[in-house]
Amino acid sequence: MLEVRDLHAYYGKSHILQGVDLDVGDNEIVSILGRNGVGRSTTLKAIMGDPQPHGAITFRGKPVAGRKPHEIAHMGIGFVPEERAIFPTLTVEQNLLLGIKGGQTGGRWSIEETWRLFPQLKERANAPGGALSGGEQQMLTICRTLMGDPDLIMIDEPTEGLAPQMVERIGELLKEIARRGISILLVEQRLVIAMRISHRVYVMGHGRMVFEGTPAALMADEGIRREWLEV
Amino acid sequence: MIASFDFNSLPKQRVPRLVISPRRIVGDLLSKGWIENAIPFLALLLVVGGILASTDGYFDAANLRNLSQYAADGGLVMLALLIVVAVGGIDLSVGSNFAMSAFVALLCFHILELPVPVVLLATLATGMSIGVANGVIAGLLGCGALLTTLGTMITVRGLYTLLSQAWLVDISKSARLDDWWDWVGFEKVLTMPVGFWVLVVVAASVFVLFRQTRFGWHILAVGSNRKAARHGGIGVRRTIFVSYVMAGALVGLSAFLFAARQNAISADTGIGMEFFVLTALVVGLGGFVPGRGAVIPALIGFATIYILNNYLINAGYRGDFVLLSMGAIIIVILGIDVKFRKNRHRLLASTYLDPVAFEPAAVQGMEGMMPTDAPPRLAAAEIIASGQVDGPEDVLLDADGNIYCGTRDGRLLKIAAPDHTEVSVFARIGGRPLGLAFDREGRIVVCVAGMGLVRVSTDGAVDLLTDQTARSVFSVQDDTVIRMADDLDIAPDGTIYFTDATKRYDIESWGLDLLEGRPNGRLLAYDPATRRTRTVCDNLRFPNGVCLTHDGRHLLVASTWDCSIMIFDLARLSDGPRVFLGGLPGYPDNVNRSSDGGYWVALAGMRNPVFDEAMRHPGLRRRMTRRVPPTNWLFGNLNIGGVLKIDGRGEIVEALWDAPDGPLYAITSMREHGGALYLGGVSNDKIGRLKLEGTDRTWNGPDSYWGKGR
Amino acid sequence: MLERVVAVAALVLVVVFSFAIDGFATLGNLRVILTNSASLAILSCGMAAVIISRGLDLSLIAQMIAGALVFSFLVIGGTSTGISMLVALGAMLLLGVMNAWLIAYVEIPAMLATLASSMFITGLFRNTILDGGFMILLPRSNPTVAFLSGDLLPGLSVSVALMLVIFAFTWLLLTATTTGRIVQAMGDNFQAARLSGLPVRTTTIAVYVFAALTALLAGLITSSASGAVDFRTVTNGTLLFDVILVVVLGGIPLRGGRGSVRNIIVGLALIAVLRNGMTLMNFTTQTQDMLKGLILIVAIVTDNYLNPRDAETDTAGDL
Repeated sequence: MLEVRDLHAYYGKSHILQGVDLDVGDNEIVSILGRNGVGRSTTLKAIMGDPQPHGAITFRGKPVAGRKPHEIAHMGIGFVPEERAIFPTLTVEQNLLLGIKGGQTGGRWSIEETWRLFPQLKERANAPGGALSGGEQQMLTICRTLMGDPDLIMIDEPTEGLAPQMVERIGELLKEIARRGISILLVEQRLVIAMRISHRVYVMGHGRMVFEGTPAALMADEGIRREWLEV
Repeated sequence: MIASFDFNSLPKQRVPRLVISPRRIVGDLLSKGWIENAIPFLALLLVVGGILASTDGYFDAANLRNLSQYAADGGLVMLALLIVVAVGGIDLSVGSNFAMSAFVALLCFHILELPVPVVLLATLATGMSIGVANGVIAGLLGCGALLTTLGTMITVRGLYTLLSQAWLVDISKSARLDDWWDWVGFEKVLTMPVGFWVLVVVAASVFVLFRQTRFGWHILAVGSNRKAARHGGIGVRRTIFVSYVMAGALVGLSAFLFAARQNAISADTGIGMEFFVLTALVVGLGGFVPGRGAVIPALIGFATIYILNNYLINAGYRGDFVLLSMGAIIIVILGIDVKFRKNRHRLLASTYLDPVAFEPAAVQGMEGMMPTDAPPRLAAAEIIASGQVDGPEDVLLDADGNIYCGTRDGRLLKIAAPDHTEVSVFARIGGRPLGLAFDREGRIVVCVAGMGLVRVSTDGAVDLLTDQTARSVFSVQDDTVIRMADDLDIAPDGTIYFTDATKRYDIESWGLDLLEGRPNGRLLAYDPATRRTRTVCDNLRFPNGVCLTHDGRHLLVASTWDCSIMIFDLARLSDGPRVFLGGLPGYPDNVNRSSDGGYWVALAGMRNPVFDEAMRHPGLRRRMTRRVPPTNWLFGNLNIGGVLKIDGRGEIVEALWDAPDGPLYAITSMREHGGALYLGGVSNDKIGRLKLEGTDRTWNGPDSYWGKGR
Repeated sequence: MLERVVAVAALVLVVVFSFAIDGFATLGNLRVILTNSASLAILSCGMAAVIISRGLDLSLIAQMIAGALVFSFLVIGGTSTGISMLVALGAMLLLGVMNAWLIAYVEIPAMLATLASSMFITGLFRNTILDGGFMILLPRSNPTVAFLSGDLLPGLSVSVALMLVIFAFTWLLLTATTTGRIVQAMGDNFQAARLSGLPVRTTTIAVYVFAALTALLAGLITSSASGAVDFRTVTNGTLLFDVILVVVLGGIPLRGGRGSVRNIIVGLALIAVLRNGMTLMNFTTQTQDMLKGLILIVAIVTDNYLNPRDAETDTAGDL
């Protein structure tokens, strides 16, 4: 579904991504692991168009690099950034409904599903998004992105700063999403949950991929783990 | 041993008809969304009140008409500014735009002598073209809105002065009359000026724009969080551009009305308008808030500032005094509003908890059965599904002995008979499933906290039966939502009786309900035939377990904080409940039938004398919640409890206690099945099973309710 | 960077005007430019400090007239120059503290607070001192007036000397003091500054008081030159706009975080030369305004092109 070849990206003069190669297939959960600062978030952001990506990115055969973020969103890629990207002055319900793109009919996800899976959100349906807790805002962002019926959803550190119970629920939600045929590209700091739900993992170091394989293969490869993941 | 009771001889349970508490009213008011706009509204009331008190006839019909005529100009411009502020920008050029557009209107009418509709179009076009200039620079190019509109403001003002000076004399000499022109400027429709109606229509349109239309929501989204809007597929620059153009059009419209009425312009036209309107908007919205399309609060702010200004001028106060007062008043309103908005949540948090004094009846009927009197019998329980279930608040068994229980993450699990080693997911419900019961067709009806009443059919399909009931008349808070559905039972006619344990707290904060000690819960009934829900009895103290008596004509309802079990007569529900058994030594949770005509009652926690005493002192509890961290609060002992057996008359005949070191804690429900008692706990990760000596080994729940051979 | 573009533009203008306008490129005209710009320069220093700290003081002109008014009123009434000056200083201190209190303690946004205080100050002083009037006249005979409108040395007027002093002071304040560093930190990332324990509230007071004092000085210079203290300067808005133009064209971003005296000088150069040239060419006020507006727009579009807004750090409150 998503093919990234030789992706470079810069923040000013900093050469952050130095030739990233990455694939995400249909119905897959793929995680990008690695230490802080190696460029995992930047990879997602570059795919989304900001910072400007240099390299070849194709989504369902169509080129992505060079397009504006909102065009890329319309192509079917959803992005859930690290900061809770909700609309604080709009209500929870408006936040969700705004996720539906113009001209979209139906979708694999509906507002009733969100209410069902997250009754806390339902209870606050008319509260402004800014009044929610961090965990709830994170759920809201993911659900809003799903309302846009993306084929691929890229999520940057969804469980950051969340209580363990919330982390479990996010994990369940991600698996549910994958069950519905939506692929997930995940940047996640918590190794345990990333390994548990992913089909494949990448390990990133110094701006490029240093490992690609199944979680089991990564668990078996102590060398990679020691050099690129552990402190 | 079936012992029966006489309903009419049981003592009546006092259920208050109304719960009135000033603190609660304040707390509920503070938690409403619209209270954010309280200060501007209060300011308006004060202004109007002050004026009424100090003058005569300021608000009589003629003056009101006058006010509304001139108000339309500023009101329309304020709505224009509202749109721009909502998208996250600002427009300082509205005053200059207004003047320029008014000039074009007069030029077209008096000098060029164009027909009135063309004049209107030309005026709108002028306003819109300035809007386009702003929109291109601040929207499409992405420059800062403040400096952009500052630049257009000065440029347009200069251009306006040049042009208007050239034509001013000619315009004033023109004697052109036109019926349409006069109609716009002077006609009254339903005694109010045309301008006023235009303002009403435009205000309504902008209201609908932000409430209902997709584009309006895009504007709010961009103002609210620009980056998220971009990622969400909204064309940010385009949206900003269109907002400025719309604003420009509204300013043009306002200028058209002005021109038709005044038929004159001067060097001062529109001077300071941008700041006047900005102030009005800010007073109404309570600050400079991008992403809010709140038309009504903005209009309230406008009305306040406008009436105040107008009054001060007309009352003969000198210009400098007016300036001084307006400046001071605006500072005061803004200051109070900022403080209120900032501290409202703190104020709410400290007033929401509304404790009251009450005393549960003293412990009785437990002679020889208290935990100190006998060894804990539950210590001998077997453990089922250890580590495989998470928070089985209630356990339910079907005729074949399969166990069903809810989990903390919203699933319904099935533990297969007879070994009870295999755990599978029976249904995914969401929310927090609590009480369970089988209906006649063998479907499981579930109380789900945070959701309502749900029914799971035999193939695992989930159906939401109800999540709302009728709103109670005297509650400030909207309590139609079923906040914490706890337990249920089903009458022979199929009606599902279930409890909403508390209307004021949810599954995460229910402990605070105990600290309040108020009757915040209710008993509800759902009729599957008509699909309607009604409140059977309101104002109960944490009603929890529900159990149909063996005779099928009465309903037992546990009142957890009251440490008692109430009973309702199903034929005469409106008579209210009576006390079936009071003075329990702990906090009762679920109640279920036993095989010998009696009932089992789970005690989720134990009373203690210290906390019972604290319940007599609401002030103490309130201060405690404010000053002491939650881990140090006085509370009931919820980590230890047990199961009581009561007979059909309501007397306690047996007590089975937890051991302090487990393996079971906080038992919230028990079910008898085939000669054993199955024990669930809301915070346990296991289910207990205790063999019962001398009980009917063929007895089970579904048969007891619905008979064998269904 | 915008600063460079503006500096180049100023130089270009100087060259063009020298050729195109008679009498531009004379020493006498240079003196005129400098003297006329002195109060604008001083005001710009005060405004710049406020803007760098991520504030805005729209009441600066009102404060300017108010301060000059207090001094003039007392002096005309017979009070000694020294006492009158002290009272005026005290008044400005109070006004600066009032603004800072509204912004730092009551937390009303700076733009709105100073807008309202501008109305309040104008109304208050016109009401109490002028009894509704707009202006009073200053006698040339007063020693302070004579001093301020005279020359310090042959060729160097007092006002220009004061301008240079304020430049030096502002430069020292911004580069060599802790307060200056804190001002920049506040503008750069207010939350971080606050959370890391910097005394943002007291620095806010310092900045607005500094602005108020520059306003007083500028007001005294202007009134001495024109012989009148006139509140209509506040309402016609041109001077305030000129101050903002100087700061912004000089390259200090409205959201603050960076800026120095060099920026002020560059911005001032362009505006002063432009004003002078347009006056010599007999442009009407309206034409001057239009040109200034267009120049501002060109400047911000150019700046946007040279420093595109980084979508990463784009904050919602950036106007």
